[in-house]
Order: sequence, then C-alpha cells, then structure tokens
Amino acid sequence: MRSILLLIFIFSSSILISKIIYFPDETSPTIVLRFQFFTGSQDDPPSKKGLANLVANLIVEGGTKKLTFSEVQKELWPLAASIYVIVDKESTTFVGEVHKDNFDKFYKIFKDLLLSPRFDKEDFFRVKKKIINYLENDLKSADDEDLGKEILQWLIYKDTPFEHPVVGLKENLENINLLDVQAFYKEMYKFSNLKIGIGGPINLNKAKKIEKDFAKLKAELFFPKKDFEIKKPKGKNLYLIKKNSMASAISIGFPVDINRSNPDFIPLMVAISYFGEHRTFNGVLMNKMREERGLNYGDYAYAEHFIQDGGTTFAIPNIPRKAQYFSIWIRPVANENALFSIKMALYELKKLVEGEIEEKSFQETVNFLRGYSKLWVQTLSRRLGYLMDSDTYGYSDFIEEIDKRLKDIKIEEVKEVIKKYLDWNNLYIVIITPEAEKIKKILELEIPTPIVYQTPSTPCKTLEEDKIYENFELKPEKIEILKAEELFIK
Amino acid sequence: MKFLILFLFVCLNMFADIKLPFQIYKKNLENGLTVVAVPLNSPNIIAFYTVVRAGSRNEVEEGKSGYAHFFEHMMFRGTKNYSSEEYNKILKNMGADSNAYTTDDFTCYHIVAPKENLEKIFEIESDRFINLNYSKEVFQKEAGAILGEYRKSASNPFFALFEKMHDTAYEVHTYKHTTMGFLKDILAMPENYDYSIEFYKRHYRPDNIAVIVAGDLKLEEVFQLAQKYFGKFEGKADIKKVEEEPIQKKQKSTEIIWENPTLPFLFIGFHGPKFESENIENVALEAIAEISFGEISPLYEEIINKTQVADFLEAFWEFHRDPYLFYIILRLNDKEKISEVKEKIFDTLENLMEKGVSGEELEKIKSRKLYSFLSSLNTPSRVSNVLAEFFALSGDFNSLEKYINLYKKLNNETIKNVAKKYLSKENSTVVILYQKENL
Repeated sequence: MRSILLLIFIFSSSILISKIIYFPDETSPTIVLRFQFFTGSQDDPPSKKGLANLVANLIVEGGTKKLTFSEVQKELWPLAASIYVIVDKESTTFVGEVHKDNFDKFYKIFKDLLLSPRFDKEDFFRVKKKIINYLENDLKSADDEDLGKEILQWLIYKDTPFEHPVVGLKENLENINLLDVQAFYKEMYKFSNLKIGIGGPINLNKAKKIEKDFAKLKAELFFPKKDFEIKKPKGKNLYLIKKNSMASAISIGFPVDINRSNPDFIPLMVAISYFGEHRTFNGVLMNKMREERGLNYGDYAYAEHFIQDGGTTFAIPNIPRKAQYFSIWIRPVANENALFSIKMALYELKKLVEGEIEEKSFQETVNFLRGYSKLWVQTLSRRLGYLMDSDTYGYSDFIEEIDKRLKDIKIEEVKEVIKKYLDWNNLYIVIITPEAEKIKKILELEIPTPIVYQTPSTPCKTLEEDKIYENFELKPEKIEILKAEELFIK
Repeated sequence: MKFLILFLFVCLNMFADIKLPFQIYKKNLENGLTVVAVPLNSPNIIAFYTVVRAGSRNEVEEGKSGYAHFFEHMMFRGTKNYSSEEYNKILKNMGADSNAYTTDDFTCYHIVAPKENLEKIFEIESDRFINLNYSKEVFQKEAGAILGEYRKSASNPFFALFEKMHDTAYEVHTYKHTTMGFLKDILAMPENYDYSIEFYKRHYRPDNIAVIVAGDLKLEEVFQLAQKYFGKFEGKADIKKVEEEPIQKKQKSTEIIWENPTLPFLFIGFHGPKFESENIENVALEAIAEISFGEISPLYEEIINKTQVADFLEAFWEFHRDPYLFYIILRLNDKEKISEVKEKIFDTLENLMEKGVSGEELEKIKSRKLYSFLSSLNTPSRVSNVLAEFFALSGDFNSLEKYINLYKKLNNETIKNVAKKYLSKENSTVVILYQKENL
C-alpha cells in the first residue's frame, strides 16, 4: 500500500479548514482531481428545490468567464479529458481526469470552471431544461427502478432537508433564475467547505499550488447543517405508484441510526452482504427469489445510500451522508407476484433480525468482504474517492479498516448489530405498478397471493416453502395510491 | 491497490508506430484453445477472462433468438463436480468480482480476484466449460430470470428504439434482434431445453474460445495451468452460417407510439461494414461519429447549445463481426421539429460527403483517440476486456494494435469516401418514437 499524504491547511480561524488528500502515484497514466464541496440538495432554499444540482451542473456545462461552453468543449475534446459532477444531499464533488501529458492545459480549464464560472443565460436555460427533462421523462417515466428508490428516500427523509430528490421538484426548478444560481454559488462554494483530492503522477509542490489557487474562494465561516431527526415509520407503510409498465418494481426501506463512522457499521455490512450483496449470487434474497424461483433479475440489500459506478458492481465514492437508510431492491417482477415477492423479502428479513444466520455462510461472507473490498479501489480515481470518504467518516483508510475489523469478527457481534439497527415490521414499501388499485383491493380483502410461476418445474421443497411466504402477514398500517406523473412537482 | 501499466513501449509521437502499453504472450493448446497472458504491475490482483466467439448473431434458427444470452446464465448453473452453490461459494470465499455479459458477437465470462486463487479459478472455470450439467428444471427456472431482465428494461424508450431499429433495418441477418432476443422467443424459452444443449455443443468448444489472464502473474504458471485444466477440453465448434444481409436499396422508416410521458426521439441507422483489423472504414466511421455529431460539431453547437431544439445528440459506431449499423440518436424538445432536424442531419452528411472534415479536426480526433485509449487501460480487468473484444471480433489479438495504428492513416479522402459509401439516405432506417396523444 502506497503511503498517503494527508495535508491539513489551517488558516486564521480554526474553523476555516480545507483539506488536501494527496495520493501521489508516478505509475498512473492519468492525473485525477476530486473536489468535494460540502454543500448539496439539503442546502436548497425553500421553493427552489434542485438549485444545488442545477448550480453544479451549470458549472460543469456552462463555460468560464474567458471561454464559452463550446470553447471549453473544443479545448477538452482532443485531450480526451473528462469532467463530471456528483451531487448528493450534503456534498457536491467535481471529478476531473486527464492523461498526464495534458494536465496543465486541462487544469487551467478545470480551475476556471470552478473558480470563474460563466453562468451565461443561454447555458442556464439549456441546463435547467435538461434537468427538468430528466426528472419528467427519465426518472418519472423511463426508469421504474430508480423512481422506486427515489420515492423510498422521499418517504424515509420526510420533513427533513434530505426529503426532496437531489434533482429537484419540477415547479421549483421552473422558478429558479440565474440570480438564484449566482447567489447559491457565492454563498456555498467556499474554501472552508472544500476537500481537495489529487492523485497520480503529480508532485507535492504542484498539489500545493492547486490548493493555493482555490484559496481564492471565500474563506469565511462555514457552518454545516445541523443534524436533524428522522421520524421512524410505524408499521408497514405501502405506497402504490400507478404507472404504465410491464412489471412491478419494488423498493423497501427505513432510516437507520448509523453511518460508516460508527464502529457498528462494518459488522452491519457483513449482515447486509449475507442478506443481499449487490449484483452477486451471494445473498439470501438473490438465491431464494431469483435462483430458486426465477421471480426476476435480481434482489439486493444495502446498509447505506448506494449508486452503482458505471459498468462495475461497486458503489460510487463521495456520496457521504450523516443520515443513512437500509433498503431492499427487488427488481421488476410480474405484477401478480408483487405481493408474494414483498412477503418473501420481509419473511427473510424477519429471519435475519431474529438471528437466523448460518455460521458457515457467515464466515464465507466475512471472507468475501475482506477480499472484495480491496477490489473497490482498483482505479486511481476510486482510490482517491475512497480516501476522501475515509477522511470524512474519520478513518485513515476505510478499506484497511474493513480488513482489520473483519479479521476476528464473531457471528455474535453481527447478530447484535442486526438486532440494534434492523427491523422487519416498521418500514416503507414502494411498488411502481400498473395494478395499484388491484393490489390495494387484494390487501384490503385479504385475498391470498400465491406465487404465480412464470416457468414450469418447481421442486416440492420450494413449493412447500412458498406456502410459508404466502401466509406471511403483510398487514400494512397504511396503503396509499399515488400517480407517478403527479410526484415531485412542488 | 493500484496498477502500473508498462509504458515502456508507448510512444505518443503521431508518426511513430503506436505500441500497446503491455506485452501479450500467447499460446495455442493442441485442442485449439487460445491462451493469453498479460503481465501487469497490479499487486496481488489478476483478471481471468474467458471469451466465447458466440453471440446473438449465431442464433440462426427461427424462434431461437436470445439463446447466447440465456446460455450465459446457464453457465452459472453447475457441473457434475461443482453445483452452482458450490461454485458461488468458492468465488465468495475468494472475495472475487465475477460476472459475465453477452453481445451480438461474443460472450465473455470474467473474474477478478487475489492472485493466489489463480489455480482454483483455472479449475472451476475449465470445469464449467467442459462439464456443464444442468437439469431441465433449473433451465426452466432460469428462463424466469431472463424474462425479468427483459422486464427491467421495458420501460425505457431507448430499449424499444433499439429493438425496433434492428427489426426494421435488417431483413434476414440475425442482427435483426437484440442480444436479449424477441419477447415471443423469450416467453417460449422454457420449452427449449434441448436447443440450449445444442447451442452449447456448437459453440462452447476449445477452438472457439480464448482464455485471457492479466495482472500480477507468472507466465509459465499461466500456460502450465491452462494445459493442466483446459487441455482435456475436447471437440470442434460447429458454427452455422449466418445469412448475409442484402444491400438496402431505399430508405426505411417506422415509428413507436409510447404509452408513458416522453420527449420525442429520432433514431437513424445506416448499414455499415464489418470489422476487419486492416479496414480503415471502421476507424473512419468512428471518427465521423465524433467529429460530425459529437460535442465539438457545428450540428451539436446549433441544436444542443444554441437553439436547444434537442437535449441529446449522439452518433456511434461499434465494431462487429458482420456489417452493422452506424447510429445517430437524438431526443428533441418538440415533436414538431423532427422533420427539420432530420433534414439537418442529412444535410450534415451530404456536406461531409462533399467536403469531408478539416485537417485540424482530423488531428484532434487522432489525439483524442490515442489519449482515451491509453488512459483507459488502467486495470487488469480493462486490459482483459479490450483484448477479449478484439479477439472475439477478429480471432487475432494483434488486431487491437492494428486498429489504433489505423488512425495514423486516416485522411479526409477516406472520410468522404466512407460517408458516400455508407451514410446515404437510401441506406438508412429512421425510427421515430413519440408520446401517445392525450395520455
């Protein structure tokens, strides 16, 4: 493991801290910059939900004071350089990567985009329109699975600054003007809430020079948003989202009082991996639902907010949150199997909460995570991102911490953590389905919901187990039908 | 963890031959299996890729689309020696990242894991290629997962557009269907257990497969283990002829009425060439996609940045074993503008046929391609993946280096000629998707 140089620059007031996470690597063909401002959608002003995301996207897609956006594109294009932004609830991370030969040219533009954004009217309208199009035509219409996950967060974070989608609300977005953008940038893009990640074949003096360039940003007091309380759901709250679709996409979840900074988080990771590791055949859910029954394409569980990184199966770095949530993602099932699938997932969750974990499977999961977590940081950019997150959550290196913590972990520790944080009875369930009324009626009239096999040939043992799932009592505390097109408007 | 790709041989001088930033060591086993080892400085990590030169193009029988992809799923369903549970447990204990994917032309199985597992990976991978054994019951259950995979994509207009484009543009070639297959064929899959076995026997033979190991490895060990575990793999592939697509004589067009809120899409496909490592036409089309329709093109500047008639414009050319489609796809903000934008696209192409591109644009695309190529090869997995693709396309690992060097030869005459040959109206298929009225 290469040494990590962590520099902390302290200015006149002890509150005005900016950090550089510097990861020199002479062998890398590229240099990576990850600039993380601790501002996100939680800072959106009332009736301007979506402003943080709009500002960040306009910075990336809006040119500099010297160059129009088209000119920026023309400069960056032959360099094969990439600049993109990740906006989340409480942070906004600008990521740039370029071949080392082209770094100086690239950095000049990267710096100007962030320090001297053009904020041109035409660009503003273009970017705003694109975001509204995404909300209305992609999220709410073309991606039932992402819509389910977004609604789940909306329910979990109800009445908190995390409530609305990062992308914003339609009418709020329409009301945002260029002055709002300029004011938000001025107010929130401060040197004192910036964490700078620099990695690759770049020397320390150059890294320090970059840090100095960004010291031009305001270095005034920055007070992060205070912690807030999240109401826990009572009973099972079922939301049926009516929408034309071929199948039913399902998300289940509830808030958890834990994030990576908590020493219980790594044992909780073991439990979640055992239950539903993302895009693998390791988890209970995947094996029971897809492998044994062919219900759908996949079934997974998460201990924190998760976004898959491109073509990999790994989570993107740099979306830290103080308030996290547990979730189950059931990929689209035949409409007639929606309720059976939910019952099945909750029955298995109940077993987990009640401590039913096989010792052998537990040990396999521990072995898996010890090896697999090292694969999360294969590229320079991901390595840098994880080091920044490690710092945010209070570790020198979270990946090393996983290995250290799992070396001698006992099943009892994991069972204790499960009991402490997981719950099978008080949660939100979201179903994106064309059969909302039918599902509601089935639940109200307590009509049995056996599995309807999509394919023949099911072993007797599986059929017997099906009866247990079918008879699991769902009994929602609340059932509400909403129309997809009416969501996230204002 | 980090990786060092050996840059000793890289030369960024545009006039010199470009060498790959790594060395490829190849050996053919007696049974015809190709084994490749690529040493990289990736401390303790190896990538193990197995590529089968069979994809949805090989689904030649009527009613049997989607089997290359389906078969990829079945490869995880166990052997006489290891059940699927046992296979998964072995990978789980390694902490491996393991999966597979299927394309029109090939199927690729991949594992990334700590290097000490190399022999075990050789053992379990060779076992499933040689001794695959699944019951009809298991086969039928997996058909449900395939249907689930189709369902998860069905809400997305892009998925529908690609289905429709291929079904319309192709008359007889198997590129008529997507890799997923026609829905009617997916629904009938549970009844075709015997055909799945037949597909395996035809394509999963050593002379149709390459094993690529990249990362922290010892060459002799890789070749010894390959011989030990894959040496007993028997049989010869029996590849059925894929019917050639006749030349299209006039423009085709069709539309999709979408039953959910959407902006209108305009999707145009042109029949192009097949991949051949020495054929510069492929490189020319790749360059045209970026120069004429990419972020720096006048068309992009006009309709995305200035008039904002569309919020998405992209053209792309992907290499394929048989003549494939060059795509241009747009999402518009206004349905009324479809005809106007369509005309602008064909005007752009006519101008390209007549004048080509500027010298500056050519230099820029050469720089872009080279740097993007060199920057992307930064993990054992990415190196293996690109080698797998080029092997699948051509059967020749050197085709990757030949391809990147073709850019040096690219000139304006070639661009103009390729545009004239392939990007004409009569060679195109237009698919329009728009929202149903009064939804």
